[in-house]
Amino acid sequence: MKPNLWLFIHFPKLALESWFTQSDQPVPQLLLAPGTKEVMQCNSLASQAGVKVGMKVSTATCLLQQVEIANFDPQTEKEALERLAILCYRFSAQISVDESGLLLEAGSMLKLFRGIRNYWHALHKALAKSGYSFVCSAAHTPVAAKVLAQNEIEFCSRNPVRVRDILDQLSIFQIGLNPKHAARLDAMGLSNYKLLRAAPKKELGYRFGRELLQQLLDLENSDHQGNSFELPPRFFQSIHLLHEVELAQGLIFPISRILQTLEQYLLARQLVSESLFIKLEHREISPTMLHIQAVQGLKYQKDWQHLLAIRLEQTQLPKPVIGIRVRAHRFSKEQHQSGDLLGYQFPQEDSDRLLAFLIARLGHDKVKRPFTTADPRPERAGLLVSPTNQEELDTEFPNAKKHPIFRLERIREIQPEHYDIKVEPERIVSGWWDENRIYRADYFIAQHKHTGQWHWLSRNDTGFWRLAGVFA
Amino acid sequence: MEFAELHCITNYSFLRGASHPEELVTRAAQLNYQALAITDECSMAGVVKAFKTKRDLELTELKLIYGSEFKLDDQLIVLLAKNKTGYTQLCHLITNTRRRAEKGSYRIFLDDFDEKLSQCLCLWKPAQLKNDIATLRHLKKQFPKRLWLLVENLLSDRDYDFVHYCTQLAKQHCIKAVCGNNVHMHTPHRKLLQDALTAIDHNCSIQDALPFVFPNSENHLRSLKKLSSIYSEKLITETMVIADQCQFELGEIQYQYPKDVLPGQYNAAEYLRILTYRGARRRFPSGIPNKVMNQIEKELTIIGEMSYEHYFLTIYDIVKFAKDQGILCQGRGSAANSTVCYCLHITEVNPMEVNLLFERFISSARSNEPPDIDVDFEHRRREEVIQYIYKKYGRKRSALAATVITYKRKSALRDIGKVLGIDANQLDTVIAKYGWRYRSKNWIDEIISDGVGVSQHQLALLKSLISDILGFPRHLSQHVGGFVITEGRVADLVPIENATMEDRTVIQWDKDDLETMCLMKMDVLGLGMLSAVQKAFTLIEQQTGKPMRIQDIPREDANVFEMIQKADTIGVFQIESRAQMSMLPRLKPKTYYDLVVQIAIVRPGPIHGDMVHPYLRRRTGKEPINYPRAELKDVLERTYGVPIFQEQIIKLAMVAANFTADEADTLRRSMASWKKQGHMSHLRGKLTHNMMENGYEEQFINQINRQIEGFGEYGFPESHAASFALIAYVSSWLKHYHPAEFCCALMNSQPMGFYTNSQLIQDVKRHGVTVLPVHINLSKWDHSIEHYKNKPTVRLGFRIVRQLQKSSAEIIINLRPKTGYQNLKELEELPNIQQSDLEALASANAFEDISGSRRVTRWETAALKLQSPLLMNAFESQEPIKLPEANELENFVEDQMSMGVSLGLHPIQVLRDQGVIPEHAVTAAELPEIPHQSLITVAGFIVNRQAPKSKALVTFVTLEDHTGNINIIFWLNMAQKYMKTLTTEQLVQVTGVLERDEEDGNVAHLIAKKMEPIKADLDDDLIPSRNYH
Repeated sequence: MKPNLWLFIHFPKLALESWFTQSDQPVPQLLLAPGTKEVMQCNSLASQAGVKVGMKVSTATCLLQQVEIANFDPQTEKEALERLAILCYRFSAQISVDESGLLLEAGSMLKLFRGIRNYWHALHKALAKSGYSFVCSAAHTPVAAKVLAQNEIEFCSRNPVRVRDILDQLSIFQIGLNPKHAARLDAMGLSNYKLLRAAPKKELGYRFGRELLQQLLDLENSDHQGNSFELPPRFFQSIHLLHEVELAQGLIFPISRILQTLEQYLLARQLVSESLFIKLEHREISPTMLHIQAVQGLKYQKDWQHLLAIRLEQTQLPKPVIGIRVRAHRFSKEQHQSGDLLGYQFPQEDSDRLLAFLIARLGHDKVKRPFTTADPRPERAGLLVSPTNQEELDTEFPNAKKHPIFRLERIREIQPEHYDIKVEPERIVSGWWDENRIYRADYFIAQHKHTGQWHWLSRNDTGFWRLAGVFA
Repeated sequence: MEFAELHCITNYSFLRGASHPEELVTRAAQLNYQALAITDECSMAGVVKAFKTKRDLELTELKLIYGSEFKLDDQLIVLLAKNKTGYTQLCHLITNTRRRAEKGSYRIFLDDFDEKLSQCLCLWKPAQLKNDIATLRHLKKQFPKRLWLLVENLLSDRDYDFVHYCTQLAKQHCIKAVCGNNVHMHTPHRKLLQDALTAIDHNCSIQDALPFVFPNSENHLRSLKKLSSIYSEKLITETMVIADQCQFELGEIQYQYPKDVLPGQYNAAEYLRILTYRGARRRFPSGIPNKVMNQIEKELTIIGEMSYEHYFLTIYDIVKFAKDQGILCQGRGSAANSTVCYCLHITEVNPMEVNLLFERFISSARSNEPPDIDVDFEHRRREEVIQYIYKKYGRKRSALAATVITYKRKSALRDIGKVLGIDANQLDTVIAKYGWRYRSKNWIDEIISDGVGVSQHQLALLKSLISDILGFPRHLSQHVGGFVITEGRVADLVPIENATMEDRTVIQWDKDDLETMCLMKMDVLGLGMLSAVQKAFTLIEQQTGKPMRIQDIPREDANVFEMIQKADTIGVFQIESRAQMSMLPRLKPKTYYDLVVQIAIVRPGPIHGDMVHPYLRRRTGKEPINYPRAELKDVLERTYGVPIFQEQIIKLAMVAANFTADEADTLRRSMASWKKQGHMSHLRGKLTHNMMENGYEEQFINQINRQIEGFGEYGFPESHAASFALIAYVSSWLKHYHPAEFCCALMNSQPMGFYTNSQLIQDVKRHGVTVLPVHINLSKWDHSIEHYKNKPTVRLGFRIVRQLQKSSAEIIINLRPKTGYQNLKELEELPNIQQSDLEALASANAFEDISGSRRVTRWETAALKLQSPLLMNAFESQEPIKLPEANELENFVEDQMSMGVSLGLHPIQVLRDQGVIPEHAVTAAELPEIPHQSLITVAGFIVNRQAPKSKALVTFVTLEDHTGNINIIFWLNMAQKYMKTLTTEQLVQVTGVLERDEEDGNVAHLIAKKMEPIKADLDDDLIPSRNYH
C-alpha cells in the first residue's frame, strides 16, 4: 500500500505577524516571550540589525534606532491560526492545529487537484495571500513533515527512504525530541539523526525510556494525526427574489423562510445567535444593510421575525429589492435564565425582550442607558452608553454619587441669590491627566426660592455660577 | 485662632503621603499651627525627620505630636502618645501588628486597642456601618476620657452626611468630637503626585485608579481661615485640648548601651583602658612608641567625655568572638582613624604607617553624632556573627536598621510612565537605552526625544511628576548589616517589623535617623576576599604546619610591589579591575601608602577633579610639587600637593574657605547624599565664594568643585582606603608567593571578585601552576592542593561540577574505598545518589581513569539503574555501540557546559590551528613586542564590555585568547558603527592601532578601527562576559 502524504505548514512568525499589521514603512518589530524581557520573535528588519531570538530586549533595543515592541498574546495567535485553518479547509478535510502550524492530510486530495504539483502550487498561492510567512513540507508521516517544516526545509515526498535521507542531515536538536534527551544524546556523541538511527533500539529504550522510542517511531512510521480542527459555526443564506419587492413589509415572508432554516441550524447545535446582518440588494445602487440586534441570543424564528417586523416598519426602501442575503453573527451557548418562578419580580427575559424591541424600532444608536464611571468630574461621571455592550457594562462603577441624572448640556448662568443652598459644597479638583487645565468646581444642592425646584448648581474657580442639573 | 492638626501622614506611609516630613513641618509652622501630629500608618518611620527639621530650623512655636493611624475594616483609628510611656506603648502595638503579617503590612483587631494603650489618646473615625456602636462601646471602655470622634470634612459628596452622622453619634453617646483633615500633602499642588502615588499603589494607570483617588485636593494642611469656615469653633478648640495633653518630645528617648560585656569588677572606662593597653603591647612588642601612647590617651579621654566606652567594648566583644572562631575580620571606614580600635584589633591600620584623623571618627565638637564602626567579616561566615549577636543580646535587644529605598530616575520613569498610560514596552526600550550619558538637567528630554508616543501635555506631566517623586521613599528594606543593640528593648525606642529574609526583623528607622537620635549602630558586613584570604591561610598551614595570620605577613616586600607594578593582579583585592590595572604601571606603587593612594585614585572623585595626571606627573618628578597656597602644605603634602582623599577636601574647606568644623562635616555628609537631595549647592556656593575671596585661582576652585561632585558619586576616605590597601597587599603577597593556594582559595570563595573560575585558572597556569581535573577518586568537594612534581598544584573539586548536589558529593567522598572506585558499577550501589549526579560527573570527565572516554562513560552511566535493586543485574548491555570520539572543540564545549572551565586546549588555539583565525593575528603574549602605533589584528572571545560613567564616549572591551587578555578601546563612532558585532558576537577579530602610554610604554591599548565576527561552530554565550557594568 502506498504510504500516505502528510503536509505540515509552519508559520515561523505567526505570533508576531498576527499582532503587528502590515505597514507602508516597515520598522523592526519584536515580540516578547510572556513573563520575560526576552525576544520571542522578530521580523527580518530586526534580524538584519543583529537581534536574535532569546536576546534580552535591552540588548535588542541597543541595536535598533526605531522599534515596535509587543508582548506575546496567545489568544491573538490562536485566532490567527484558526483563520488560517479555515483558509486551508479547501485543501484538506482533515486538519490538525499544532502550536506552530497546521497539519493537513494531503494524500486524499491529490486526485481532486490532479496531482501533487497542482496541489502544492494552489496551496502556496492561497497561503501567500494570507500575509503570513510560512514553510510547507510533506512526508509520509505527520511528525516527519512537521520536523522538516519547522526546520524550514521545503520538501515533498512520500518515499520513506528519501524522507530518511533528508532527516539524516538534521542534528539531534532538530528532530523534535525532548530537549533533555537530545542534550544527553548529543553529549554521548549521537549528535544527529543518522547516528541515532544506527544505535540499537533496545539500548536506547533502556536508557531513555519508552518516550524516545515512541518519538522515533512517530518520526518514521506513524500516521497518528492528533486532534482534528472543526470549523466554527457559520450561517449564511441568500435568496434571489423572483419578483421585485417594493415595500419593506413585503420582505417579511421571504426572510422568514431563511429564519426558519436558521432556527434549525441553531437547534441542531444548541446555540443562539446575537445578531443578524441582512443585506438587501437593489439594481444599480448599493445594497441596504439592516442590523437586527438581540440583547440576549435568540434561536426561534418567531422571535427573530418579531424584531424583523419592527425593524422593517422603520425602513424605507430606496429601490425595489431583488435579492436578500442573511448572515447570523456571534454564536454562543444558550444561557438558561433562572427567573422568578412565583412571579413576584419582573424577569430579566422580559426586560431583554423590551430592550430588543426598542432597539429594533428606534435603531441601535437611539437607545442608551445611564452608566456611572469613577471619574469625579460630573460630565464624565455619568454617561449614556449602548445597553448591549456587556464588556462596557461590566466595568461600571458601582458607587453612584448624589448627582442628578439629567444634566444640562448647555451652560446656563444663574444668580445664586435666587437659591437656598441646602447642602454644603462638593468640591471637585480633577482631570489633570487629560486636560490642559485642571478641572475645579464646587457643586451645591439648592432649592429655587420661587419655583421650589431642586437644582444642582456649580461654581468654578473664577466665581462663575451655573445651573448644572435638575433633580427629578 | 489656635489649631493643632492631629491626623497627618508623610510619604513614609508609602505610596500614600505626598510630602516629605520636612515639608509638612515647615508648612505647618508657616500656617501658624500650634501643633502637628505625625501619624503615619502603623509606622514611626517618618517621625525622626520631622523632629530633626523642627530642631534644625528652631521652630519653637510648633509642637510635634507623635502618633499613628490604623485601618480597621473600613474605619480609621488614630492614636497619639501623651508621654514617653504612651510612645513606647504605641511602638509595641505597631511592632506586634507588623510582626503578625508579611513584610510591608500589618494585621490589627479591635481587641488590640486595650488597656496596654493607657497613655495614648484615641481619635476614631467611624465607617457609618452597623458595627459602629459595638466599636464605639469597646473604645469608650478602653479609652475612658481619652476617646474622641474624628470629624473630617474634605468637601466630598458624602462628607456633609458624615459630619451630621458624627455630630449625632457624639451627642447620643456623650463623646467629644474633634476635627481633622486626613492630611496627605503639605499643599494642594501635590494633588497630581498624590493621585499618581495612588495609581502606583494599585499598579495601574491613573484612569484605572479613579475609584481610589480623592475627588479633590482638600486633604492638605489648610489655612486657619479655611478651617474656621468649614468647622465649628468647638471642633477646632478641641484640637488644642488634645494637643495640650500630649507632652512627649522625641528627644526624650535615651539610648543606653548594652552593659553585658563588662566583667564584674571593672567599670567600662577601666575595662576599656585595660584592653587597649593589652592590645597595644601585642601590637608593639618592642615597646609602645610615645606617639602611639599619646594618641591612645587622647582618644580614651574623648571617648570618656562622650561616654562611648560601652560601644567600643561591644564591638570588641563581637570582633573577639569572630577571631576566636577563626573568622577573619577587619574594621573599615572612619574607625580606621582610631588607634584605640587598632589596639583592640578592631581595625588593622597601623597609625604609625598612615596619617589618621581621629576627629574624623569622633569629635567632641560633634556631640550629637555617635561613632559608626563598620567591620568586614568573611562573607561565608558572617551569619555566624549575626547569630552570635542575636543569641547574646536576644531578639528584643538587637535588630537590623532599615534602608529606605527611594525613587531613582529609572524607577521614577517606569512608574510614572505607567501611571500616564505610556506603553510599558516603549518605556522599557527607553530605559534600556538610558545610560549615564544622560546626566544633564534635561535628561528626560534627552531620553524621550522621540516622544515614545506621548503628547506634549503628557510629556510635561511626566517631567513634573518625575521631578516631584525623585527621592520619595518607596519602601523599607533591610540594611546590609547595620545592627542596633540596646540595653533595654529596641521596641521601646522604635517599632520593629518583618524583613523579607526569613527570620529577620528590621527597625523602622534608617541610619540617618539613628544618627539623629544618637543611637549607635555597628555594621556587620561580609567581604568575599576575607574568606579567600582565610582559606588561603588554611591551605598554606596544611602544608607548612604553621598557623598564618595577617600580622605574620612581611610588609613592604619589594617583590610583591614589583608584581603589582606590572599589573599582574588578576584576583587581587581592589586592584584587579581593568581601570586599576591601567593605573598600576603608571603609579607604580612601591610602598603600602602608595597602595592606599592607588585604591583611592581610580574613583570618580579624583578623576572628575582632574587630579590624577597632576599626581602622577609630580610623583615621577615630571612636574614640580607646589601648593596653591602655603597653608595647604600640611593638608596636601603626603599626596604631592594634589588632593586625593575625601578628608583632604574637608580639611581644605576649613583651611582655604574658612569653613567651621561643623560646616566641613556637613559638606562631607552632603557629598554622600547630594544626588538624592541636591541641597549641597549652597555649601558649594559658599566654598567657591570664600576661596575666591582668599585669592585662590579659579581653575583650582573649579577642580575642587568637580572633585566634590565626583565624591558625591563615590568617595573614598583615606582611612577606608587604608583598610582596603592592607587586604590588597595581603592578597598580592599570597598571589606572589603562594599562587596555587591563592587561586584555590579564590575559587573556593566564589562568587566574588571580578573574574570567573576559568580566568583565574588561566592566569594561575600562566604563572606556572598545574591545574588537575576533577577526579572521582582524588577530588574533594572544595578545590584542594596536591603536590605534583614537588610543586603545589590545584586539584579541581566537585563543587565546580554543575548539577552535582553537594550531599551526593559528600557520599561519594565518604564512602570512597581506600583504593578508589574501580568501575562505574560501584557507584550504582551508593545510597542516595541520583542518576543526574553521575551524569554530571561523567560530563565533567571525572571518570576518565576508570571508564574511558567521556562519551562512553555517559552512555554507560545512562544504563545504571539506581535505587532499583530489582532491576540491578536484570539487564546486561548486549549490543555494542560505536560512539564517535569528541574533538578538541567538542571537549571544550562539554567542559564549559559542565563546569564553566576547561583544562584542555583553549579554543582560540584550536581555531588558529584550523586556520579559522588568521595566522597574522597577534596574541596577547606578543603584544609587549609590538611597537607603538602599529596597525595590528587580534582575535579572541569578548569577556568584558564596559562603558564607564566617567567616560561616556568610550567602550572598553577585553578579548581573551589562549595567551591572555587584550584591552581594546572603541571610541563612540566605532562603537556605533560596529554596534551589532560588539553587542551580539562572542568571537571576534579586531583591527586597530596599538597605542602605548607616553609615560609608560608598558601600558598599551588597541584603538579599534575595524571589527568582524569569526564564524565557528560554537554555542552562543559559551564563554560568559561581563557586560556594561
